[in-house]
Amino acid sequence: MSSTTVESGAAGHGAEPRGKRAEDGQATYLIAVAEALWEEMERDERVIMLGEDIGAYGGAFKVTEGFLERFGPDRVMDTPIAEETIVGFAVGAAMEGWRPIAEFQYSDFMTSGFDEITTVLSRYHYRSGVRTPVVLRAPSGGGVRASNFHSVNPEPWFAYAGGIKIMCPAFPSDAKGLLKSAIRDDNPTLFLEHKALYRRIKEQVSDDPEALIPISSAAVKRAGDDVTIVTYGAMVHKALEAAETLSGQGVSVEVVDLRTVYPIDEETVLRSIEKTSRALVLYESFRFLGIGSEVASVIAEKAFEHLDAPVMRLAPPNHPVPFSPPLEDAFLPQVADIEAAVDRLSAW
Amino acid sequence: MTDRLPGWLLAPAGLIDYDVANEAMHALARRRLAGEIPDTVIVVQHPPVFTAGRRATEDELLWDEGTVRARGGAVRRIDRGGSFTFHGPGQLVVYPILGLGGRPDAAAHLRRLEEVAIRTCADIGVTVGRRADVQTGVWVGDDKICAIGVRLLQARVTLHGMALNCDTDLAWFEGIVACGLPDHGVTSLTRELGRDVSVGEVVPTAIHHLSEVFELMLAEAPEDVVGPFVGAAVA
Amino acid sequence: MTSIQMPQLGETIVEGTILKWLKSEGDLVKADEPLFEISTDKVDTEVPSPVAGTVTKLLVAEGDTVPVGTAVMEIDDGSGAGGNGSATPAAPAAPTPQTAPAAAPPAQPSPVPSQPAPTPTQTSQAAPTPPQEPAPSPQQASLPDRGPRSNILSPIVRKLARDSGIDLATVAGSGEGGRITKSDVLAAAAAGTPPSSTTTVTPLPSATPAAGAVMVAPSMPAGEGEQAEPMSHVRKAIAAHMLASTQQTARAWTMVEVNVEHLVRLREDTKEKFQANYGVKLTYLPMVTRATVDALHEFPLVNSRLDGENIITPRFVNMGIAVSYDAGLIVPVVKGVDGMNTVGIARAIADLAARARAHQLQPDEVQGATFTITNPGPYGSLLSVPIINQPNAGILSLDGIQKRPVVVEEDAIAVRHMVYISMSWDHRLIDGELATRFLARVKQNLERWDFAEDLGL
Repeated sequence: MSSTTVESGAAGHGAEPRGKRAEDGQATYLIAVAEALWEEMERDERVIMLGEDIGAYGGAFKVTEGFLERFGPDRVMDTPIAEETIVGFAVGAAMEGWRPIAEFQYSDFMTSGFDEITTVLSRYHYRSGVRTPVVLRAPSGGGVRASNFHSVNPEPWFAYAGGIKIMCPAFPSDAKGLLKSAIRDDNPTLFLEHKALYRRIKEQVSDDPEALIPISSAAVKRAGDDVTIVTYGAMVHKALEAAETLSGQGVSVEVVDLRTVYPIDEETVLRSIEKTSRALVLYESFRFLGIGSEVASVIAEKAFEHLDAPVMRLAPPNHPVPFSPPLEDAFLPQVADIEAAVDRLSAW
Repeated sequence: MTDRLPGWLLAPAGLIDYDVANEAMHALARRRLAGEIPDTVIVVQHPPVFTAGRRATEDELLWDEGTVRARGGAVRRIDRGGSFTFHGPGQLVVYPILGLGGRPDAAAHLRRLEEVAIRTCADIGVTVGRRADVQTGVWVGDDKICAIGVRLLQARVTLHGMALNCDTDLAWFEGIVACGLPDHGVTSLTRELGRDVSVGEVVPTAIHHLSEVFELMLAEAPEDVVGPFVGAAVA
Repeated sequence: MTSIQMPQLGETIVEGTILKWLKSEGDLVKADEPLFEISTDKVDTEVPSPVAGTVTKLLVAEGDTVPVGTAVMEIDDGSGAGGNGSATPAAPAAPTPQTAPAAAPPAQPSPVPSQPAPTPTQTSQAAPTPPQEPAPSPQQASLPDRGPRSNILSPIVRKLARDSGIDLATVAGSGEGGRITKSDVLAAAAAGTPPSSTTTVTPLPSATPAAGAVMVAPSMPAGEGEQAEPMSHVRKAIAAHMLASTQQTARAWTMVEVNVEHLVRLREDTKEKFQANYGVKLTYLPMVTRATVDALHEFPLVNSRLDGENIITPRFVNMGIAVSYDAGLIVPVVKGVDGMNTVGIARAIADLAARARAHQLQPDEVQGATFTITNPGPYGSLLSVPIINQPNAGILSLDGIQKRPVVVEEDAIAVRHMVYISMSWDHRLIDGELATRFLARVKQNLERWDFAEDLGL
């Protein structure tokens, strides 16, 4: 299969995602994702997309609006409600040289294809030596009153598979750069888009189709000296809000956004702990066995000599995401909870 | 020792009345419990007194109280564990008032008191040891040279402590079944060395070893703490 | 409902006896109020209540002996059905994040203001409970002083103290429960708390020379008939220390002459017995040290040091004793010398000197001196002008004892053993009158004290 590169922004096509940016050129998280998909689809015609309602409907969240018209039904496929088949198809296509991007309408439904993901996709290259460059992508996370069928953070399940790289960006620019890297990566990847951030976050995003963010690179989103919050996804924004309030109280908080949750960029995390000596690991996946458990262990193991206080975690309990709004608010870590945790940590 | 904490030392001169010292010790222990004062060590001598601990029985006092008083002594029943013992001139008495924290290890505290006594006696030139088969305390063979008895306040702060015979008049011990052990005797540094070993000679060494074993940097306690002792000196 | 168990007062204590119930069924109790008295084979104590509530059940009788951990009482504390775990004296009362101000013991040299007490934010109470993170320390009781947690040294605190040579006993803890925090150690290091060498090769305290004050002598390499060898680590450290001291202190010097006739006689009379009794030689140094310690208590400014613009005056004396050995000069420290008599001092000096010469001193044995004595006398000097061992305010020199003709009572001339005792002192801290009075006191002590009693012979 040869790859042909098509100039991005094919003349005259008004459905191009970039056209949906705000007047000042800022893109929402959702538009940034769409731009990445569009640019990569244009760059490499081996890239194909499949999922429920992504074609004619333009996607449950309208991420893929206009894609069917631009790229045609052979490259933008509507599937039945059959997650196992979606993954299986993607694996098969990848074996044949395609670079499939399989969308799950909600990350919660990924578990219908659990076996295909963990037993097949994650291990196929190990077993056979054949690469399977599949990108799985899904809207994930809670805080939008979508209850326990539409709010899960599935990353711990699939990190456990061991053969899939998993990304959970918090910012539009990170989302675009990381998704492009995922699509170009020859490994199976899982790209989780936090649905609470789709339309709530906007920022300047690169126009350069070659602007990539490396997988497994964390970023310091706010520099500080007293306490480090290691986090990812929607929690990054809550952490930043808490940090702003706390700085008014004389506590200087550094926020490290993991961006990729498997494999983790340990070096950036440890360097931050060496500076502050106090770590709060904040994560939306459940407390027990969520991503933060691993981060906390790594910090305790590798930054022991630099710690001035125990490594603390803040995460929801292992419990279905509640539907009732006050219950869901109590379930998820809120800005006030983060502030209280940082207070406890700095007073230790 | 980079981990030593500051502590207070009260070492008033003369013989300090037992009741005064006991009350002051309890008051300081309560203040230590409340976190108002640091770990504090009291080093004193008493006029002759028999003290009975919780396990003491009447038949362990061999002289009746009239006889005791006639000889210039007193009898007190107190809140520490153990049986009867004697305090008097020539005996170095140490009351460490230490906070043991939320997980007190009383056994370790007793061992540390023994360690202080062992090292002090070694410096003076007498080899002494523990007798786990007999009782807490420090021994020369079958004779006890240093008695140890402790109580905890609210399971956190230590009370009472140890009493090392320097040139104590050992005849006093005939008035009791010392420590409730009829088959064991008592001895002193003077008796073991065959020369007079005064409390004054032993005190600096004992203080040195107290600081080492309990990891304290001892400084003189302030005036208002020493107060109750000044003027309570009997001789 | 809280279950109260027989507490464990030590690893080897396996059971306890209820001596007396202090509360009966139905009584109200407050947190920390004593519930009952117990006796174990090691120690007796009363057991305080970890919670406030009503005593609902006494499960054993007075006089019963039960194993540690046995439930002996139940208290209804309003926490609902199901015991909330063991409640022993080790179980903390509700953790209070506030650090209440406590009377700082006077021995603390540099109190650091405690951090503002953090207040926990209230969040909504509906179940499932929000992920509150209790600090995991078992020592977090409600004692509001530096005591319970001042012994908790976190890894970074230990590391920083090690790397910067800070003596943690001199650092005040501003963390919860008096814990020494990373910022406390960093502040102490920045404030210039006496540093000491941390390399294993050089046990000398090595002060950094004043910034930019590197003296450049003209370079003169070895020529014909000369031999070159590099300076040893110890030598370099001594050089740096001496240079820094000379450059940073306003050094002045005062001397007194002391009549030590009676001390010489005393030593002649007792030295054999001393050696036999105590196993160490009796020299004049312990006696001079004792006399000096007394003078330091009388004139505490001579025992002080400068910290920035603060004068730090310890209430204790750690005496540095200069010892010469094969690698050069080293100053081991007799800690707490003010608690020792002459015999104890003699022993301590002998031990430190021996181990210094055998290169067996521990790092903490060469730091923390509050005053220093050097004794070149035995080597033959008559008078010396020593360099101050920073950061001390002074260094005393005990030179050689000589028989000299002196004027005694009624203007007669007699031959007496005399010695010059002098002190180099830092004029930034002390003035001439004080320095002179100090030495005069040392002289007075040496001439008038009866050391015989102190030798215990």
